[in-house]
Amino acid sequence: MTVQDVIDRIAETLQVPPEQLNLESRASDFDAWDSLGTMSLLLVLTSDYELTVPQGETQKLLSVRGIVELFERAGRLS
Amino acid sequence: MNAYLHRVHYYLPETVRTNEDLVKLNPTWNADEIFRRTGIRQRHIAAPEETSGDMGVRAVENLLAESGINREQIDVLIFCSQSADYYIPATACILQRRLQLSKSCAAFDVSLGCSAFTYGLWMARSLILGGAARQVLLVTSDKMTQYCNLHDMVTAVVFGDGAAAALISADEQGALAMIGPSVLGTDGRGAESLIVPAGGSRCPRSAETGRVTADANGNLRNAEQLYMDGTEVFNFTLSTVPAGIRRLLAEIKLEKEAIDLFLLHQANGFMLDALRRSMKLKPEQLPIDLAEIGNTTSASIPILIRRLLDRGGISPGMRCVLAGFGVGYSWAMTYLTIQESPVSFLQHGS
Repeated sequence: MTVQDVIDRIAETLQVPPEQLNLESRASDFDAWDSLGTMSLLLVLTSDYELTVPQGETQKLLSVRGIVELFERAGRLS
Repeated sequence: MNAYLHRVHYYLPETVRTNEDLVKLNPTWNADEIFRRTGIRQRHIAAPEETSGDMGVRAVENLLAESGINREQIDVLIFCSQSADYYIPATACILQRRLQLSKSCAAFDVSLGCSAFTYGLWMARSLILGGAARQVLLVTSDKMTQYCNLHDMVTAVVFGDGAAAALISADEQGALAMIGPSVLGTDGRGAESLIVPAGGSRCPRSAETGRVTADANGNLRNAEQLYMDGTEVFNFTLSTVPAGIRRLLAEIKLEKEAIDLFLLHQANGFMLDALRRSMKLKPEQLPIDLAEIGNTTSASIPILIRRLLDRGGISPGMRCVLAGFGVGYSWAMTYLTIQESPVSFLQHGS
């Protein structure tokens, strides 16, 4: 899985064009990335990729970089 | 010796607060969007003077009215709530008098929220199997809306008030279901994710704790009101509930496909949908029934059971897994098998 794959999956989940997202994108930049959008991302990470987000670290779900870090930490990035 | 769930009944206050009512108070909110996010259209709201104890009494009276149970035979009353009538004394003691239960009845409060009913079943079964009791009255009642700021979208759209009562007995005759094993758990690291920060001895009420402030999303609340970190609670739920259910299934040596109903705490529609997806369950295995009542915290599972019974959604011989989870964090999963011939109850419930 590449960083671009992660970005594409975030875009698909939030239903925003992938070209609008990059590594520096943050939740506050997108209306669709509200609390429901964040929880939708969490569901995708846990259900489809079987990633765990440690308690107290859900703030990572508020930025592309944070989500990429979760994949990286789990050894899922190539 | 076994323990059996005999009867379940509930009480919901008459007044309802619809999504449209909330939008009138918060013109930037949208009623359809609230429903899309929560699966809730309305919630019942206790009257200002109506307490959790009052609602509990109504639920018990509803239960007793159709059961013909001799009040003298109830030897334990467990009252579960996060919104007790007083700091002192226990609401259970007040209910013992109001319900005219025997003076030899043990009565105590349990301070748990969304896991309260399954914790209560575990306690009642343990008391019965240990020989300490034969008839246990379990009351779960919460007036959560008293803690919610009506301008806090995280809590105001979700919670409603309500109470439920259940009779757990050593007697098999006439029982609805046999209560099986439970798995329970606690993770106090989550205490601050769902909390009323002020009003207890850690942080007594003051002018400062009564001061309303806006969070980063514009939600208003003061420190005496309920705070919920929705994403953290959702993360806890997704990681803990499927794992707890797997533990229970391993203990009872059944696969999830063998379970007819997963009767989960009715937290919100999005979360229940997510759990259904996460656990790869069929829609009919995990009923969702909160559109008209909202999240009634400690009472949600027994209310779900009763409403399913009333609709004919529970049949003899069904295998059910109950799961309560939330504030604490605290969770408990319990196995129930519906009796092959729960005739009297199903007749009442039909």
